[in-house]
Amino acid sequence: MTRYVVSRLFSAGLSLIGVSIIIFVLMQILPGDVARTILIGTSGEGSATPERVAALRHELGLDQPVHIQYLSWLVGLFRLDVGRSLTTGFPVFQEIQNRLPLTLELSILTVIFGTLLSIPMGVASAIRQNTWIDHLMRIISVAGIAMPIFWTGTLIVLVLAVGFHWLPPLGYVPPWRDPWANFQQLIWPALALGYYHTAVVARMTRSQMLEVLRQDYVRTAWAKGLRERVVISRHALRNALLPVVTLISIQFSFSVGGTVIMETLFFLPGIGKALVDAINFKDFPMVQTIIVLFAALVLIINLLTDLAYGALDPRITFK
Amino acid sequence: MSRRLSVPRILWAGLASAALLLSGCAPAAAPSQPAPSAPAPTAAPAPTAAPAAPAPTAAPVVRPTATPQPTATATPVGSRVKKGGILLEALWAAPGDLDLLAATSMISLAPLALTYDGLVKEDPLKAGVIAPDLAEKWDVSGDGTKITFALRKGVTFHNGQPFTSSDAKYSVERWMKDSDQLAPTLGEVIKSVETPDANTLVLNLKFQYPDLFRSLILDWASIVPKGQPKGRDLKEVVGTGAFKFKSFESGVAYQVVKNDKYHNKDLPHLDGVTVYFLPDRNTGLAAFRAGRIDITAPVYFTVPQFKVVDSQMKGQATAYLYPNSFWWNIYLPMNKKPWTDIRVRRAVFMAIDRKQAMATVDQGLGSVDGVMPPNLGGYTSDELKKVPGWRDPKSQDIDEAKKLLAEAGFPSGFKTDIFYRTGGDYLNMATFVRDQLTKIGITATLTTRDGAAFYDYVYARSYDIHAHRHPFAPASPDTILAQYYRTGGERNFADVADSKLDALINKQMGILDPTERKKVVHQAEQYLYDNAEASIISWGAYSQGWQKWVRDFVPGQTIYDNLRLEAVWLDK
Repeated sequence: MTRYVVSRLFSAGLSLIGVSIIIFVLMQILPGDVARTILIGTSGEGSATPERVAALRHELGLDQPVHIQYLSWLVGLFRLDVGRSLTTGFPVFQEIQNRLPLTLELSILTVIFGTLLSIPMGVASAIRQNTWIDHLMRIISVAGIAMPIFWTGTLIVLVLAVGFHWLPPLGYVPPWRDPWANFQQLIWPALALGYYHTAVVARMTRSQMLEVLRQDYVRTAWAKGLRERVVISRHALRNALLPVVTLISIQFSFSVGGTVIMETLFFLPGIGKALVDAINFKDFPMVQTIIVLFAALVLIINLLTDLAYGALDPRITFK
Repeated sequence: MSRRLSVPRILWAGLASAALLLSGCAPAAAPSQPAPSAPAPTAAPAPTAAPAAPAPTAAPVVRPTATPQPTATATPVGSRVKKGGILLEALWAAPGDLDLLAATSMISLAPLALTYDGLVKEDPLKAGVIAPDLAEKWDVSGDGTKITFALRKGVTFHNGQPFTSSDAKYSVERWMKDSDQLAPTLGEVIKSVETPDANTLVLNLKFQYPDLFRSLILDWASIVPKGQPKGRDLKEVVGTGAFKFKSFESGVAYQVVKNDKYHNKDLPHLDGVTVYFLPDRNTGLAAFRAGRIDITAPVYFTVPQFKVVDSQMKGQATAYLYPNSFWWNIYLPMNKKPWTDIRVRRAVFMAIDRKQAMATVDQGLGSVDGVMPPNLGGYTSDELKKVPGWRDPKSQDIDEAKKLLAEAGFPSGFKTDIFYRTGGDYLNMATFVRDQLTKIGITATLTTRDGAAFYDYVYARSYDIHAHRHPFAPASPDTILAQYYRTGGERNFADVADSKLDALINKQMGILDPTERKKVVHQAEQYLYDNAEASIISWGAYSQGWQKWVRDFVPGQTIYDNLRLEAVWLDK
């Protein structure tokens, strides 16, 4: 198993370098001059004389050859210092360090919230197939898939602000500083994101459970006179969970992307928002570092998911 | 085979715990008053601070009155103000660096200006009135080319360094060289800066300049310590202003706290200001409605948002429009065919129905003034009615435009392209212009670019027609004439290069007498119309909102004035 993990990590490293090259090339192809954009401002109020643009390009190191720019970024990545964001002027790693906890917390909260709801919903729906419980759960899950995340999020903001004249405190307070404020800030976006997550996973759980409940070994378990709780949770659910776990891991990766919208809607200074801002300004050190980080997260999640298969299904071995 | 199964209790428990999780964080009830995060004022109310008495102004500032406004009145002298509290302000983006003197836009100006003073300022309680700041008084020589400022004594920067005339000289020289808004005029007007002693600053002008003080009250004209690093090398904001820098977190907020050693001992009233960077203006509006934001930066609210605040928060908040704070333009690169032909340019300008543009794109919140608004010496609406392009009925303009196109060799019109910036209401204006041009047979497609790419196209003039809006400041004819229409002007997006026009623009810059200056400004304006060089479509109004508990906030004459908030207090 150790050899398997090491080989997966090695191939992950190669994948990350490939990702960084692709992103760098794409950023270079994109039209636009970050120096000019900084000088003019987002509202187009400023002016940008060629002299001022040239001076700022020099200050930002944008007048260096393209391959030098990439290599200095790559070397910086290994030294954990990729320089400063072109737009904010803050060190990229400092920006990520400040923002990553929020995005991770939101993603984890989303998955916890979604999983906590979706698996019971899916199981209840399956074991009460074609009853009002099943119909209700299916309506809830279909609605969750049908409603775009940004719409759900906007609706929550509107209901809170217009209906209750209340919104969570602006910005982000880490949980170790003020757990209650942190909870108020994150629960609403987690709810909006988690609803979609719930809907998808609940449907998958239901279909898997329906399939497993018709298997011979489940029938045997009933025939042995086992209690219902044991049949459902130990024999049926455990076997039905294998594809569900895969889906949850995919959903986790997806929720990292989904945080971009929620961070904007709920004014949460997370990494997703930073990425969008950086792309708009063509801030390549920032974009590249964040994308590589996201890619690394996805690769790690995939690895953990593969390892989880072994724990759930004893027939799976790693070579 | 089917078997009736019951839902195991553990599953119900899972559902119930998730439901509990949600119910626990719902607001208990709609609060009667919004619950802001700022600490409540604890200090006993103190008498109103009397701001420094304004000295006679060298150049009175005219306040535009085109649009009816809610009145923002100062607390009467003798009544009481409440000290303390943190004012929460919304801005849409964070500054790229901390160098105010090189700032190009509101995103830098609004947060950074809080920490600085200028030589003079716009009276925070009387819009348009010039008041002393770090200069206690000043003397203008008989020919108007030498201004001697007596600087305030005993003032220190936030780092403890004493303020002297050498700091003022350093700052003025930076305004002349580095300031996006001030350098084009002050760099041209100021010949030299002298410091006869530590408390005297002398500006020697090349010629008498009527808008000198109008430029000096802008927050760009702030005083920084001599030798302060520039651009991204500047890591700490150090001024002499009413507030001291506390923290800056990119993408989150910029915070300042009260300067206890401020030279006006009665100010500021607030304990501090936190400027939140809220790029999504709908989120900003929601936060404003929920009371999480006390005041927005000027320009923050869009027209629909202004209408929401104005109609749905009556009595709770003020929505203010800055008259003529931006202008819509249609730029035709004059050295590019077919725009090299004056008849084609004139036809396009005549085809645009400006009243309709203002009524539709800006939903009626604007004006159809010409290149120069009347308050800057431009034509009045009655005078404009005689100018082709503004005439009633519009049909005569359209008929004449068609004739001009036919004479220019385009009896059936031609195909062209309209370039606009993605987002905002730029698409609305581009679509409007396209529809207007079809009336004279010109068929246009629309092209857009976003973010950084947009400016590449603009500065490379990679367009046939460019429909765009620009914020406008300061309130001086030079802002328009010198920047947009003079040869080589920083914002001359149509590449106008006309020596006769340049001569008129230069001439008006040196005329102190408002009546005489107005005559020359009129000549320049008429010249722009006669030669189809005027790019104006219509004027719009940016808006700003503040809650009813924000007191003694008086909007400045333009969006770039009175951003220091030193006289503001919270009536909570």
